[in-house]
Amino acid sequence: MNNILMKTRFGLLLAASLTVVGCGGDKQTVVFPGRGGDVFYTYPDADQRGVSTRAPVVVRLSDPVADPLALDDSMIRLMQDTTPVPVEINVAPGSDDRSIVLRPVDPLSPGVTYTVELLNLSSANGQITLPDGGFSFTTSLAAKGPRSLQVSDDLFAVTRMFPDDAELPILDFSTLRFQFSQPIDVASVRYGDSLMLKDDQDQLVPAIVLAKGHSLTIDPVTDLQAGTTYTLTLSDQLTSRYGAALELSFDGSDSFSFTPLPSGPTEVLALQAPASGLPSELTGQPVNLVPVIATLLGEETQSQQQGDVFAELAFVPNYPLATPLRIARGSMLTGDELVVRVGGQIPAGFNSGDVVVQFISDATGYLLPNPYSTSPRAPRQIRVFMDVAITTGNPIANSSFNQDVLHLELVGQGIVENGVLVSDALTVVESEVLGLETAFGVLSFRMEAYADQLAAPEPAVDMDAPLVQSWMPDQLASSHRPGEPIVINFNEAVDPLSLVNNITVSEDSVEIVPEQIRQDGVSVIITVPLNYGSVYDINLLDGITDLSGNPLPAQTLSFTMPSYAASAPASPLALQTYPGFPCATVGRDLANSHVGRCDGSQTTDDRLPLPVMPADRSIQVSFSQVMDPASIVAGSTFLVEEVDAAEATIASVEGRLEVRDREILFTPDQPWTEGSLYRYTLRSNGNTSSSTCNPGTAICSADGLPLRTRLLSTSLATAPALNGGGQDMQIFFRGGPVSSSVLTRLSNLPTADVNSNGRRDIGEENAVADPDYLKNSGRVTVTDVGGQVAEANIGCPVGDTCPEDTYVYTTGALGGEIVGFLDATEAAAIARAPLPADVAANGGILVYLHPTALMTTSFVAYAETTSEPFTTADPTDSGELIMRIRYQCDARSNPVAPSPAESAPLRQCEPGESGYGEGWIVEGVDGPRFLATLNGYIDAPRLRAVARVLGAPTQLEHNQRSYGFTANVSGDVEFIDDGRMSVALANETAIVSLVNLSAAGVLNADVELTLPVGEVILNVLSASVKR
Amino acid sequence: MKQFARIPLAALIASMATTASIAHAGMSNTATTFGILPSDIASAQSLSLFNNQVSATYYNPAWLARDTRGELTGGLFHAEPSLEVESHGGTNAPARDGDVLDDTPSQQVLIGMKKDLSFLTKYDHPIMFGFMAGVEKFGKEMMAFQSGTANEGQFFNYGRQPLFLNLGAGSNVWRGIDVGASIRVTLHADATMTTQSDLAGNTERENIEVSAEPIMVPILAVNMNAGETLCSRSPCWMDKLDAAIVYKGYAKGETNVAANAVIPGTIPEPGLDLVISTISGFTPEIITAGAQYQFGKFRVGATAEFQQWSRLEDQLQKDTVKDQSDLRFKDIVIPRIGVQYQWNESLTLTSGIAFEESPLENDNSDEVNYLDNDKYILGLGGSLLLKNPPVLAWPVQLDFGYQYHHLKDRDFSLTGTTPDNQPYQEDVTAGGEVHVFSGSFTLKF
Repeated sequence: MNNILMKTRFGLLLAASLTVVGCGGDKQTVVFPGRGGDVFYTYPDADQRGVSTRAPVVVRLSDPVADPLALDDSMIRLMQDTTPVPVEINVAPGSDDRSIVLRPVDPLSPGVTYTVELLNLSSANGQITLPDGGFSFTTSLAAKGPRSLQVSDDLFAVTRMFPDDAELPILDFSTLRFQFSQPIDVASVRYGDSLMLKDDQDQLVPAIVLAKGHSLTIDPVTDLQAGTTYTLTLSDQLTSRYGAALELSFDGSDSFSFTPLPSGPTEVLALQAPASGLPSELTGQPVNLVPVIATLLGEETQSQQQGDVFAELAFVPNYPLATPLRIARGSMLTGDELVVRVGGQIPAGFNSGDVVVQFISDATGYLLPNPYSTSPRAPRQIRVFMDVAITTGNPIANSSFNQDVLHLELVGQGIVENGVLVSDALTVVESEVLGLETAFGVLSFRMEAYADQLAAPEPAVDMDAPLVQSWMPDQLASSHRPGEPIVINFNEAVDPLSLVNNITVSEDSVEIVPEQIRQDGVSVIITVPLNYGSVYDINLLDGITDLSGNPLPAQTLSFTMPSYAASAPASPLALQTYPGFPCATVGRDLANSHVGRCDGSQTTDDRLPLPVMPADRSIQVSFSQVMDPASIVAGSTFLVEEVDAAEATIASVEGRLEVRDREILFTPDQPWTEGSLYRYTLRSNGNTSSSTCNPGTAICSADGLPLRTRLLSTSLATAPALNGGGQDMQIFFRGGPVSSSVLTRLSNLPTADVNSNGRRDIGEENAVADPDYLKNSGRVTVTDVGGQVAEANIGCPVGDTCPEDTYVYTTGALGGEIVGFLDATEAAAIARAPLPADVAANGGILVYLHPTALMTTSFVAYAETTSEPFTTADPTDSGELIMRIRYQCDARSNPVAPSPAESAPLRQCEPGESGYGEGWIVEGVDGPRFLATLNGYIDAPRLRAVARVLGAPTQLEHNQRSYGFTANVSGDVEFIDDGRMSVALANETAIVSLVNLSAAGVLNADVELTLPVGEVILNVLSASVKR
Repeated sequence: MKQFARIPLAALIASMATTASIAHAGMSNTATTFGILPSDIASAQSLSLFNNQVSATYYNPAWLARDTRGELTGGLFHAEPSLEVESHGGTNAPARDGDVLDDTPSQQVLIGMKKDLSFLTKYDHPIMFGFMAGVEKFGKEMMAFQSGTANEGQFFNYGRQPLFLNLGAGSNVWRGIDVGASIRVTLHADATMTTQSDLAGNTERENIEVSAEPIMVPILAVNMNAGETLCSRSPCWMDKLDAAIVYKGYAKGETNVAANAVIPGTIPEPGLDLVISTISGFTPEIITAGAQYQFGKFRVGATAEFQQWSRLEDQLQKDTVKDQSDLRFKDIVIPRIGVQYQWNESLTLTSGIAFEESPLENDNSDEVNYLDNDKYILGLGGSLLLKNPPVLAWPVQLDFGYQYHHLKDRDFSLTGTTPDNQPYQEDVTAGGEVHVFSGSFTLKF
């Protein structure tokens, strides 16, 4: 009983206990606050430098934008200092409303710091803020144009080193990259001399050195030794394009010592760049699609890139924060061919073939922590610097487009999604097109790692030997002139180290030392002093290889420079002056925006409009002869000044003068000021009859003859001597805004008048013997006679046949500006001259033609009179003919009719009108075709006609001064294998000149000269794509 | 790669962590935090030095010699904490709904036995052997430990308890002087794994090795009956006075997990090492001294227990989970006093109290965010001896113990980073209470 009681008590106690156990407070739930909204990615990155002026701004958020349709500049804006920059603001399609894209309406300014401000931006998860309210970036310096746009500092200094060996460590597999405050003079880049990387034994480390623009890359051929101390020296022998020596780059020293960290064991991560067509989550643009946007190509040219990328990662556990990687030299991506349409509309007659992007040095990159957010969802940042060569399969396209692009900086994000590392990155690819224009394209790069790396593709092994795809001059040696480079275009990039000592050049079988051999893309550019008539052999020796070591078969490329007849040497002419018309002028009236007329012309001639010069362009002058470079000195024989309307000098314009064999370029330090008046002066000897030339006071040819600044005359007596000089050539212009049109300069080549003296010289080629010289020729025929002329013949006496003497040959150059494609409506609205029917119907690419002067060789006319033998005619030497292409309008406020009335008057220029001629590129049967109407003057200043009356010579006057002509010309636009553009313009209508000869009102002779349809051929050729 | 061989890497590592949990328990153990048997719980361990039951194997193995009867004890133990955190706000402080942050119970099944092993010898001198074990989750969980960071805070004590395993012996050596020794067994667990994985965690070429090494921690005890030892005649007033001193070595449970993954395309040989080394449980070095005196039906005892927690500081410096927190500990002395009343031949009532100062000096331990409090401990319990139970041939003793812990409020600053990786700071007050219930069944033979 007692026991039972005890058991009962114990049970009750247990029950009570369990009851107590059941009591207690509420279980606590703990919920941490969310982050709100975050920025996960921006392009450009915060504080990024060297950003393309064409870059969009991308801000990617952690969560969707609260109200995508309401986005405006009250939420996010782009600022330059305190001024908002006009931009289009959109949410990228396909980005889950998370990526905001700001596209500047106009290109950004080079070398300027911009700030992206987040003002009142909200995501679905809350307000988006950044420290300091936003982030800044700095645009790249310009690659060309005025000095102020190309330099960030008057001192030539290193502005950036990548990797910096601080935040980003240098590893044994790193490639060193430097950027400078001024463009580097590539000629000063001499590895082992002006710069060097040495090991701890003071031995030079073999390295590939790439230099272009503001960028320099040093890529050791083999990996460095981790733990070994290396010393890099950038000496003051390195100079900028503006002649400045490099400042001490490394804390007061020109040397920098570093000890690379070990990368190994490394692992290669195979990634693929898919051609999925899917939109990039950063920009909404299709991934891996490279647009090439340019005036010459329009906005629709693009190449879909794809391929495998093999990123070699340093041992990740050793570099958990900043994980280095490299993409080996020789890696490549391939892409669809570019459909090449001129202006984006007119098929060029060729496509690019496969576009290949090849890494020409080891790309160096890092996987970094997200710079904006610590959220576990935030992707890591990827930054990669790469140097690539862009090549294309088609030889023409390859020559036109191939190039090196250095320091292409990818800024991306990377995260593992579904077990696969995916990366989206942006960069802007800026590439030169035909050497004329800088195209750009925003590349939305996407890479996805292969899920199963063990089954991933291996890097492709290049077993194909490189080959010479095209070269210059090749078959166009007759068009080659001193000063032009020799360019060899390979089908793939060649190893720069293999070129050393493996290219030799001989002239007439004697080896000569090239001034420079350099590489750009797959091109090797050789600069040698070329001499007329010499035979050159370019020997490509054994040992040249591609980046994979495949050898190029040894071979020799030979060409012969055209012969230059040394008899009757002529003074150099300015074939083209940009801006302006190539003649000394008189009767200027700058206040009324005209620069007068050419000295020696008829007083009633058109007045030339004052040209407007886009702010960032260079003055360019091309000459008919090889010039004495010592005679062309800025501030002495070549002056550039700002002036007032009375032509009084306000200030000298500082700038950089580049003197080449047959041309000069002057680029101002500061952009031309819009609205200001400028003058550039080409000094001559002041005497059209004197051949004396003092290089210290006048511009002289290499033969020591002065610049001939006057070509015209109103009488034979005042005709300038062939080897004479003239007054200084002063050309005026007004500063204008930056233009998007593409300046194109074309030379009339080949020509039989190699020595450009306007005469037919013994030994010169002719179009009959060599039809190649039909180019830039005109056949002169007599189609009627009148007055006291009974019969006439060209080249030989009446009754004889001498076809080779009926041709004249042209010396000259044409310049133009390609504006872009205009549809029929736009063309009609902008054109001031009648539109060709094709353009009126379908539109076309407008090309403004810069009026200039062409010179032809002379011909001899033979005539029999109606009063033989009492009156006879001596053979008449036409002397050189000057064909001036007229502006579309007369700049005078009150144009007067020509007197004598040998030409049609022009309408008065409208305010601000350039007066340039209008040409159009349209789609032809075999490709693009150029159409234009040439309205010009013909002058024969040295025409000497003599009649003999009863044996007594009588000088005849003639009407071939400012003799007007009009001709429709057209021709196919062709692209040559070496990348140059050629247009063979032929006259669609006959050019007829009614030559009237007279003396004292008694003798009167008329000869109708006709240049038949299609027999005036102006073959113009663009300059080398690469220099 | 064989498809069936693919298991996520994360799962594999997690499973390894689980496997490794056979190693040891949390930062407390049943014996020191609560008491092993109901009688220890009832006295708040104040009379445990002088407990005739098998738990003496741990508390005072010398005392095993005082009762040469054999015993087989089984019991159940349930500790119900109600550990509260009150937030006072802070930077990115969480929303806390409810009061009780942690109420994870400890529920153990207890088993013990003691037996005179003198029959194994040629002598007639009693040598008492004791064995005591406690297994969590009523026997379902041999080992449990959790070691990690906790933004919301975590209590230094309480929660699931590790396997308790203790065996030892005691014997009389001289007049009234008994000595005893026992060992407490803890485990050091090592797990290694090598595998090849992709970034999705699909593995192949896996190799897992897990080993557990028993670590023996000594417990040495001596007790003395003052009368028998010191008095020259009997009876003597000191016959009712017993004193004891016990030394317990420190014990730590250590778990080391070393995983190595080679990720083709990302991390080549020698691979990515994931190394976690953590102290999963720690019992400080303890020196306990105490005495009891029998006043008629009352037995009164008092002990002072010195716990050397400062040693833990060095241990945690090697702990990859908690090394960042700069945890500091102080040595403490816990006073305990208890009384037992013999109601009648069958029923005995016991009670005791103790005050346990928190050894944790930090009010802030970044990311780990330990919370610990000074606490008052009150114990109550009873014992019913059934000398002639039904069925069984030997007497049976039923014991019940209850213990109440009152955690004195203490302010802490919690810091770390939120799950979204934002800096976090919160001022809190930690407090609460714990109820412990235990019952046991002892067969005396």
